Amino acid sequence: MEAGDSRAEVTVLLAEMAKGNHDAASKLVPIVYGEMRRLAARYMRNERTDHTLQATALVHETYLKLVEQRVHWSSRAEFFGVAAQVMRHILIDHARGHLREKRGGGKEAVPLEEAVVFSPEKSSELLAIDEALQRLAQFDPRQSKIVELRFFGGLTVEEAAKVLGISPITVKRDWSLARAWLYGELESHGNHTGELGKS
Amino acid sequence: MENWKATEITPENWERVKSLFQSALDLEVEQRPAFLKQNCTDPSLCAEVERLLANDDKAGGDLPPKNSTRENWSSLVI
Repeated sequence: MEAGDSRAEVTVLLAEMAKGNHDAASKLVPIVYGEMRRLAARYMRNERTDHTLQATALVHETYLKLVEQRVHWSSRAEFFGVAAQVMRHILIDHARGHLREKRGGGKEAVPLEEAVVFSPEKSSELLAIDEALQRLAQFDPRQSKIVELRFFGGLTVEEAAKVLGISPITVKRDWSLARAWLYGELESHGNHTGELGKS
Repeated sequence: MENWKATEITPENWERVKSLFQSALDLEVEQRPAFLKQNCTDPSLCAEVERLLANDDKAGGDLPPKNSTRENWSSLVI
């Protein structure tokens, strides 16, 4: 599907999501995923000199492709909420695939050129973050979501505040604590984070 | 100091940690011990807040960066 055709559909889905229709979100996921893959593949073909494609830049570019620029900010917020989630899944799948391959078993889950340019040495760290975020979500879902939006979606404090419908100062405060907690979690996993790749 | 296990953290005691952590963070570093002594009655909870404050300090430019911009924050995932 061409991005231009998707725009109208995405606009409808975002409006539905804002009304609380959860089915709309599950319809939006494959559209976002498809567009991200398309953009990532195009970047790879063009072989940019720095050879890197930042995941969060890709999220923003997907937004520009799929969302009409005059949409209401709440639709914008809904979009980034979904896009950050999709990016998290893509990266985590990829990191798992990399670690599996390193251990000599199985195939890579997501081909590199179809996902994002990714530093393989970060695989363990990325999975450790993902698992810590799942633990954080058990007792503070909002903090976990803030980290997801900022880390995997590349949102600023202000953007994350809009997505969650809270004030930027609350995001900043939650962010400080989530960051301090995550730091401790990653530090305590230390040398055996590679084990986290086992599923 | 051992981290609190995630299973020991409940939404309720985490709220208490959050409130103490955020109030302490607004203070000068040297004022924090006295503040915690005065406001925190549960020793293990108090130790957790101290640990998190120390982490905040240590995390500095490390992961995740405190005042991250899109660029430096995402450097982990490229």
